[in-house]
Amino acid sequence: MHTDHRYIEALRRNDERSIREIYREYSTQALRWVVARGGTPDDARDFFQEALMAVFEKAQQPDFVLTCPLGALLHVIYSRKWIDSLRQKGRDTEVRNVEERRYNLEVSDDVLTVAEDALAEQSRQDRLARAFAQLSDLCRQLLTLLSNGAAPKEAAATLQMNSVDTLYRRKNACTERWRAVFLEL
Amino acid sequence: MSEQDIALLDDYFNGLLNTDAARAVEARAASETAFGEEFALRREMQAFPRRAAERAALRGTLSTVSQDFFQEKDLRQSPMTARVSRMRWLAAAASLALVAVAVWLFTNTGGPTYRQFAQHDAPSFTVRGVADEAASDAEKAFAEKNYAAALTAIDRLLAVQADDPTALLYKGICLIELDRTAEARVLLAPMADGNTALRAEARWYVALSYLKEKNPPACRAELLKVTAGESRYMPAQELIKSLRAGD
Repeated sequence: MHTDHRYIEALRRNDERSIREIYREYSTQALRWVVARGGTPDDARDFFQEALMAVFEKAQQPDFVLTCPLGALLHVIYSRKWIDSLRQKGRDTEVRNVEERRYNLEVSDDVLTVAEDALAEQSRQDRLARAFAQLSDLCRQLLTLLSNGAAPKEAAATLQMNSVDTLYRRKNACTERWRAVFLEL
Repeated sequence: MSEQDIALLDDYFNGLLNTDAARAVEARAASETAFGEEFALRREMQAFPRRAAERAALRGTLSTVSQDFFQEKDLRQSPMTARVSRMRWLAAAASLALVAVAVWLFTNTGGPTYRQFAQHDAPSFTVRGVADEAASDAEKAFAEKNYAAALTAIDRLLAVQADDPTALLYKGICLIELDRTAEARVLLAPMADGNTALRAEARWYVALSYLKEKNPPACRAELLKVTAGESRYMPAQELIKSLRAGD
């Protein structure tokens, strides 16, 4: 376990004090990196925040343990997000390829692997969110109630359903719809 | 995925299976790839709404905290609110500015020297009560490059607040300047291997202590511990290059 694992715990706990320490430690480097490549401080803020969110998604795996420096991990993730944003804008293919090679060379395989996992997990969660948003209000309400630990009988009463059996049938149908939309995205 | 398996997973995630049946589902998920992937997806979906709330809460915290960072002034090296960041980044910028000079000097003198890379930012100690005078004396002496006097004042400061990381770091710097490099490393090594905000600074100065002793292999070994993303990464890379060129 790397000593920076404490920051993973901070993200899991939404501990503002430690999160502030993460910003103190790593934000200026992100700012300089992005601005040096034509971005704005607001761009840097956004990419850094999204990098932290990606790490948070990875940290949702209960057995995840950070084995590399957080600064290096964040650097790879916001670099990649920055390059992806350039790619989406169709800007200067050659330059961004050079940049990608450069930051890949600077870090260990371990950092790259964790970064790839974190980005993949963030993308997966984003797809789940977009699919979830396409469900009906009732489905979203029902699934949220149960996910938050409401007892089935209580959830059925809240949603004015006649029985728990009805609740389960609706839940199964909502889940299947959600799954189908997710797989289509 | 058969309808039967979908119904089985529905029952599992609705908590309608008895213990044995639930364990059988978990065993299948562990042994059958397709079923396992479906099981993992359903588990994620089950947790998703709850986690969405956690995610939104974290995003809110990040948005709040980030308002205090990513300012234009951070790019101009003007004083920062965060004392540690200011010290580190000013030092990093100073080191970077020295790169060209260092390279030039190397090509003319045969290798990097401690003096080329040792650019210290002015300290700003956080003090509590009676340590105020000691802190002031230390800052003044350090600014005047009177490292012996600075060391004495820092020791007074540490007598009051022994765990002050900035004071410990600057004591280490003073010791290096006074050619007491081994003592400096004894002080700095725990910081360099620890998890304080000044870890990269401590590693950098441990490396510089070896540079001052004209011990390039040890210096390089310490520099390699400074990882990408840490504040001293770029100057460390430049010094490594200079050392390599001097081999």
